[in-house]
Amino acid sequence: MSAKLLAAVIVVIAAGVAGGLYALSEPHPVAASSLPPRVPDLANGQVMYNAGGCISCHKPASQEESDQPLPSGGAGFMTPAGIFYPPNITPDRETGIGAWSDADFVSAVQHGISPQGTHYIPAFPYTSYGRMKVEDVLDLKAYLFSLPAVKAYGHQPEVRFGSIGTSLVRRATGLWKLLAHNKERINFHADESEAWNRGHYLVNAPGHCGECHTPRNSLMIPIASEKFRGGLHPDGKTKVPSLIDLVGRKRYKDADDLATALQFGETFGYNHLSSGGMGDVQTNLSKLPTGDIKAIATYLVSLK
Amino acid sequence: MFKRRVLTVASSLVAMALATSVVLAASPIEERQAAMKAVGKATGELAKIAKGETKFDAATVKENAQTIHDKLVAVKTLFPEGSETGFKTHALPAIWTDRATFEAALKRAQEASLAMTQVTTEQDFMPALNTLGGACKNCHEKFRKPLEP
Repeated sequence: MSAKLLAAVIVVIAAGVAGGLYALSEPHPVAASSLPPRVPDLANGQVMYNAGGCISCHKPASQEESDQPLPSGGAGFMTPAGIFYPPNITPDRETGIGAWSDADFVSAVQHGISPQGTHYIPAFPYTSYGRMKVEDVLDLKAYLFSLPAVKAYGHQPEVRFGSIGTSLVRRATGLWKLLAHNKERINFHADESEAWNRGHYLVNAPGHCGECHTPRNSLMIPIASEKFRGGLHPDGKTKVPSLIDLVGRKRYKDADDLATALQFGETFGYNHLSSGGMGDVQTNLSKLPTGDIKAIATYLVSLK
Repeated sequence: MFKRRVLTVASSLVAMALATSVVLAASPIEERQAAMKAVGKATGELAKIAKGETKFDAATVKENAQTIHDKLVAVKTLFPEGSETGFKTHALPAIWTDRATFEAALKRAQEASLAMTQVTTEQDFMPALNTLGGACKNCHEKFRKPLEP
């Protein structure tokens, strides 16, 4: 084979691989026709909002001490690919999500695909939200749409090579999703209590606890066999504690003790719950109905 | 005469060395850890009242709130330059890189604990504890590493 022919073959193969990868990374938003009919339940939407911790990332950095902050766009996330800014998710039509359809919202929250048809980077935990019941997601949308609209323009991502770099990172995220995006539904475990099952759902789907508490491999994919055994903090330096055997390791006396901790945090002297962002999480969880907080605690103390 | 002067000089050198070693032994890291431990213990006593494990008692509240306040005033000087690492400290570098925010967060906790020393009725207790808890959380969120594992 001549050198020219070899080079040509290599180019064709490389183009084929690139084309294949490009095709594989294609975003597939959900179709409106696939969504179930739903009369929105705002109270349930609010539960999902607090369980999902939306405000933690989407609140403006300058307003951190407000009692009723609105999710009008948050401080930047440092990721290996660059800095990405959580957008305005108040119902402003121009700068927020006010013009989004139900299908746009479900595609974003559960599939990580923007209305423009690009992949969101997974600092947005759609990898967990993808496991939510679609009815809960629609209720969440209705709740967000019930909030006051705030006009707040977001920041463009700060990625090397500008908009081309951003496009490449987003496209590459499509490939990552093929490996990492677990859309497995949360199954009901008949041998466990109602509370346990509710906790199982809240922790794994909207609560997205594993995003930080489960370690990831070199491709940033959560390691299933190490689930909840403690991960690396998003800051890349400190460690996030393990959630395994919280009672046996004397972190909490029992499920009730953990529920009290999640509900009241430092006010009741549980100072371990407020470091590295967990204080914000606890503030969100404290707004859940008591039954849901107990359900979360029931499930968490069962982790062995 | 000469001998005595040598002796005096020698003994004062020894005294100085001793004094220095005492200062060196108590690192500001250990001191602040002890102070925060005392804060945690006193907060625990207040939490017992909140949980209904002990009855509200104004004198107990005042005593523990005073401890919290005194220790929080003391720790302000216990994060000097050069005490960033060691003794398994959970202090985050932000204490030194964002001093103004750290001192504001500490001040907020000092004020919340001072307000708690003024609480005399059960009715005022929970709101004051909420404010204090919020102040503790605010500072820990930003300036303390998660506890391991």
